[in-house]
Amino acid sequence: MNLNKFKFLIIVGCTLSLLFISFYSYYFVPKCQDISTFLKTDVDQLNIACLTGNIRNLHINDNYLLFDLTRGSSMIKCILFNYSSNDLELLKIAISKNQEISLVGKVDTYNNALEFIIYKFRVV
Amino acid sequence: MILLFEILIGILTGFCLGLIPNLHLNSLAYFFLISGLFLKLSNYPYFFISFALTHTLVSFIPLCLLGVPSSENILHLFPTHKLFLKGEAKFSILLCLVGSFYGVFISILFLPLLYLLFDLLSTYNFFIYICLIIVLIYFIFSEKDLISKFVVLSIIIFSGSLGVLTLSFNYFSFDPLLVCIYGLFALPYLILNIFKSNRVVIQKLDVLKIKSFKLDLPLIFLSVFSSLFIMLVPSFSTSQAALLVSKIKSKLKSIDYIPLFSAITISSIVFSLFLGIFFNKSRLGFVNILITNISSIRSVDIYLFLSVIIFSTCISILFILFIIDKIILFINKINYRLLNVFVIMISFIIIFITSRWIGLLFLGFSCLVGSLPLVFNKNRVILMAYIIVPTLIYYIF
Repeated sequence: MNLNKFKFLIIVGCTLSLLFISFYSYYFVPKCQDISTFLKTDVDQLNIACLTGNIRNLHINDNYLLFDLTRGSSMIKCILFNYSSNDLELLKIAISKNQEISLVGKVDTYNNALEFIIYKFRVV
Repeated sequence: MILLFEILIGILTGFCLGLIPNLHLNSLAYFFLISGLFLKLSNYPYFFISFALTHTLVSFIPLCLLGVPSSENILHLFPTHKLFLKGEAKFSILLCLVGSFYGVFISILFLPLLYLLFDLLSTYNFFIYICLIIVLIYFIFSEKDLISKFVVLSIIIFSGSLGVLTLSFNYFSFDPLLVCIYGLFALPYLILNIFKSNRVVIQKLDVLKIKSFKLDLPLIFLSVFSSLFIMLVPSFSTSQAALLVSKIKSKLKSIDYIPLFSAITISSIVFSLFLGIFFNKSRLGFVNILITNISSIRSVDIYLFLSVIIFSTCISILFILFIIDKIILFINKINYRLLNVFVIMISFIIIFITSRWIGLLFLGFSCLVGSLPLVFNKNRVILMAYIIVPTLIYYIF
């Protein structure tokens, strides 16, 4: 077995994967916050809107669930108060299977950031 | 950039902690969880993937130089120790790295098949416990005479009882797996070394043997495939995968087992992370901690998952190749007997911190059970009954 050839393969693998991680995380991982991308219906006078997208990064708290709704490279933080264990399970499955979900709620500012407070949701 | 930074932090942490003998991934995952490190990192799954892979690769160094295994690489101990006694520990480390490198790439190719088989078979409990019973029966009936059969049965009963007592009814310690795996597999061997090792084995730095060594790629394929099979049956470990390969491909030289075992070890980590992150099904303790105990679930992109695996593996191997000569020079300078005492002391301290006095008590019990195969000259794989028996009981009742 040629040790130099082995080292060369490692360096090639290292370089290619590093380039891929840099490129992919820069272009494909959602980062900007832009609600207009998600809107399926117009925001009415009460700011009620319907959004669809995929869930990322679910944070579980005693009183609320916080997660990122993504569509393409856009992302918005969503919050669901007074959730049930069934809601949590559905969201966990939607995360692991990368299922799209549809949300109905209200655009609001919470913790000084634009967020979407959910009234109800369903897995598409 | 943050993602890349967190991956590099994972690699660096895995590298430093992997060099400490007997520091198991489960304990470290608990530590990360308690310290709140997972919540501080915005991409903690990627941190943990790079950490787990680097830790596993680096843990080959204490395994080959000191003979301290973890639950993932127990079986490596025997062929690597033979090379250690010949002063060829560096050769065994290189073989581990070669096996791991190819093992990672082949395991990535097997991921779709794993998903299909897992989806198909994991719900059939009948399939799982039949496999477990077959392995236990095989342990007993692979012995030729009646006395040996009785000895093996006794070892199964003792280690199995210890497993039921600590894993099924875990009232006793914080991390029973760390304590008992160390007590069963490493401690008896280290104690024996203190009394046995009068001669100092100087480890060579040149590895001319590697040039004449021919890597058997089909064997690595077979190893990864058997590792995939053990993922389907809870409590099956790398030892069962190696047993499967050795039955399919007989007449293997002792040296061939090293890349084989390392390919099995690293692929089982890749498969566990894949099942845990994408399907919420854990097969290893630290993956279970990652997916069930964290209040913040970060989603993982499959393409990034695969590239982080390749990147962490490659960069860890490069680091190891860079540092290995320095570690061997250091090991050559110190007294091996004192080093064994030091390793035991470090392990005792870690166990005391994680499990207190009750952990040390169970360490004593498991050390006694772990001495049985050494005393009766039996294969130490039988001690895996420690995990198999509690799992069997769980599935039957």
